[in-house]
Amino acid sequence: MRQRFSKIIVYLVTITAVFLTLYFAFIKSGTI
Amino acid sequence: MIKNNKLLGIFWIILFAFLTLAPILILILGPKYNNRPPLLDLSVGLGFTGMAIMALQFVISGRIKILNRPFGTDLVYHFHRQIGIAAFFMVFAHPILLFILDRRYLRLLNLITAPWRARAAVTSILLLLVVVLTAEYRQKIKMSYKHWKIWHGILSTVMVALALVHIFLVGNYVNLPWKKALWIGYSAIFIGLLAYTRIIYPLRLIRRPFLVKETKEEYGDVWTIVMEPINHKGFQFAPGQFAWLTAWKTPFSDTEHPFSISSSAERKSEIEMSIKNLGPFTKKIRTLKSGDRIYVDGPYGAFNLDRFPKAERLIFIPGGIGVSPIMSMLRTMADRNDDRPTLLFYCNREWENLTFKDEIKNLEKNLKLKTIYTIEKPPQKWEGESGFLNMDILNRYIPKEWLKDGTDIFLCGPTPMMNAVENELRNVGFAHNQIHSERYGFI
Repeated sequence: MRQRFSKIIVYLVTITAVFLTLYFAFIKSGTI
Repeated sequence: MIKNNKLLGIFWIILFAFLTLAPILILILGPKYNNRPPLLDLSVGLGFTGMAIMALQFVISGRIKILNRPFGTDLVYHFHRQIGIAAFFMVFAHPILLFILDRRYLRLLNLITAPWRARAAVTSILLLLVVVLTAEYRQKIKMSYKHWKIWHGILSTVMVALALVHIFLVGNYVNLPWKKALWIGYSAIFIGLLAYTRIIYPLRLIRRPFLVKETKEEYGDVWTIVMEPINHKGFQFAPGQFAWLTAWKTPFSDTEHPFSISSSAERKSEIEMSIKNLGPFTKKIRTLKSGDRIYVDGPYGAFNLDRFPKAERLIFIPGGIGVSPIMSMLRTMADRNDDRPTLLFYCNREWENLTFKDEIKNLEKNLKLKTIYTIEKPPQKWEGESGFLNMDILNRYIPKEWLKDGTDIFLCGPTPMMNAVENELRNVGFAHNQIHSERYGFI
């Protein structure tokens, strides 16, 4: 159970980081 | 200072998320870079985030007590491992995306002709690969924990240092003062932590040595070391906590091993650790003799009795040498005249090897303690429980009224046993927040 909690934080941070990077690369740059 | 563990835990998670995402947030909030291919931005963004995590890994694994307190050391190390893998993929995506963008980047892989910024990056990524693979497959490649730990530290340090050199030499995305400040900040965290964990902390430990008073043999190939602080007060621990032990070498050698404290938290003048012979280091423990100088770094761990003061009823479930922290809890309860009703489900492979069985019998006289032994391979004419601890056995001994709040369960043993028993406890009807455990399968 506690390990699952750790996994959830890892997923949340990773997904947010990837999402923000995609935003930076494609939306902010005006590509999309 | 935040005293509430939940609040402190939330604070650390938010701070970690902020520091991880800061590089990419700064890129988003900063000025637009015109005419840069999106794949390049994607590559750089992922590389930056992965690197920020790698630099923060030194904080996560730095054995900082205030960071470990809300989560427990085992969980912090699991997080260190899992977020490390996530960061590995992000960092690895950085060159891969560059190669997809333009094949000319492949030339940078040639360390002879490549500029220094690329040499630093390629070497760093190769080291990262070695760090991750050896961490994941250490047992398969039969690498000893001692050697792995030393090399994990050295290679990670060189890897992060080279990656920071790469970031500053490329300089494209760190040209503005506040971006530069952010990466200088990460470098400062990294160097500061390195100095703290490798120099300042070992020096502090050297000034607080312990003396071996006695080494006692117990049932089940277990040896108990009794130790006392030399010219200092030692440390106050809670029953169930553990400490890192360095023997035969100084704390600078980075060869310490974690063991549960098995003595009572009320006996402050000496500390005991009961250690089973399971590997090269633990096999040597029996050779420690009275008068030997050792170093004990502790206490650590959220798995402790004092963390749950509202518990009205207690259930202890040790498996094998998992009895060590449970003994600390029982001995402390006896010293405190604790009269809470307590059930001890002690699981072991054989009856003959059951560590502390004589002392547990004595503790039953002083505590409101009932012990149920579950023996995997019981002797002939055994009338107690046999096989593995399961729902049927638990239901036979745990009164129905114990299922409500106020019952706290402490589970400690080999990881497969703990996973199985945790499921059985949930099937019996206990809530997950009533079950406390720590898992050290990563060592």
